Amino acid sequence: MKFIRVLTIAAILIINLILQSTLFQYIKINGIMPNFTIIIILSFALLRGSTEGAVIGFFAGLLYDIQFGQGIGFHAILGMYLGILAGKTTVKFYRESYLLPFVLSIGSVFIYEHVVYVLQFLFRGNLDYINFLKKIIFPELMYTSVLVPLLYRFIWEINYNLERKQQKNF
Amino acid sequence: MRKVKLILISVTILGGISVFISTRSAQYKSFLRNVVATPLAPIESVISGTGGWFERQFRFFAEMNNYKLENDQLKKKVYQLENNLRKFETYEQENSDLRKKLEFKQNYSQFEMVGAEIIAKDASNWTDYFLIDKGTKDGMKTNMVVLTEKGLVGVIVETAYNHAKVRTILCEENNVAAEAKKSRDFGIIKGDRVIAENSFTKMNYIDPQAKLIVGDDVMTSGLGGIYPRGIFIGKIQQVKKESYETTKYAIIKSNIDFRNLDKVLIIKQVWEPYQINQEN
Repeated sequence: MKFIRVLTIAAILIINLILQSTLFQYIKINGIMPNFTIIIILSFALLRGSTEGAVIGFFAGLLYDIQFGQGIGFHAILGMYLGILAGKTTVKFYRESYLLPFVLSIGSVFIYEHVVYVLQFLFRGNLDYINFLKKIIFPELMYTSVLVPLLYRFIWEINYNLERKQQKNF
Repeated sequence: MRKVKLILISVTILGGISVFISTRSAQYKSFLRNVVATPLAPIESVISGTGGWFERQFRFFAEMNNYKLENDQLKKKVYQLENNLRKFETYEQENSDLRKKLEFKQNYSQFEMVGAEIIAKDASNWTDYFLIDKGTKDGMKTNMVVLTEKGLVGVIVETAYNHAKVRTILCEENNVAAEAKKSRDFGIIKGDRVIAENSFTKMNYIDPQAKLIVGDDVMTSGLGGIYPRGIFIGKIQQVKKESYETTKYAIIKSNIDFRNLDKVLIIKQVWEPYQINQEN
């Protein structure tokens, strides 16, 4: 029943991309949108471990790269490493707890966006770091972390159903 | 464990190569775009359409109170404008007569334009790309200029069968050769992510001796090859000089509300200045 799992996650990623580029444009606050992609990668990495996190991170990034990115592969690799690192934290963790995903989302948005800033802006000669931190990274971090419990719960539910189906079949 | 590391390293290297190829080859990007993004475009189109519809209804009710006041003001304005129009009609007649005599060729008005709707906007907080619902099947090509009646929007950077990707003037990667209308000073307009939210851009590399006027119109200068001359970009908001730099820069305010933008016009011709010069 791996097939159903792959299909479901692919659907989640595609729907996420479509919604972020259409409907979620209307929930922007001061031009800042929460980063749902990171929450999705994180949640699956926490629930299923590094390998699945890496694969999901890779494809989530790749989808974004093809739609809006400049270099195809940039966000894919970033997403992959995010999935791996997040998956490493699952060793001792209750799946029902919201604390770890919450803390992790703050950390990963912070790191992820810093990598984007350094590679896409600093290397191009934009040294306005403080303003980037104030106007983009921090607002996005806060907006994203507020929405973590909601989305994490949603993915937890989906994952639970998928796992139960898997157990029934074997 | 070693196998996992091997896979990781090879994926990373392949990804790096892919990034490199995509900066060089437009075909590589548009191939992937056609495979992955083309089936999504109709869905995005529908969702954007309904989203925009709901937003318009919501705004209609929210602004109901202002309509009567606005109506009165508009009636007065229509009267004024009609008066002006009569004046201008005579001017226009004169103008066209004179222009014929001078054999003046205005390239801008000769361009054929097509309308397009925005179907998806950038899903990241860092860049300002968007997708339009016209693609190669409607004759879209890269480097076609995108604008609205309020001014320059950007340029098409990638095309697929049923949609195309537009880079706006708010993007840091975008450069437009520009010219201030009154003072005739040149500069290059570049996006700046930090101030982009309110449709501000930065005009760089201005001569330190330039006498820019605040409130002056900024137009495309036609240098650089992508944007034809004389497209309105915005007004000068501020002129600044950085202490360690030998040039001035100005903050330009575009009249376009990029956040609520949903329809654009495209000049259906890739502007090649050298060819036009040869024809002339």
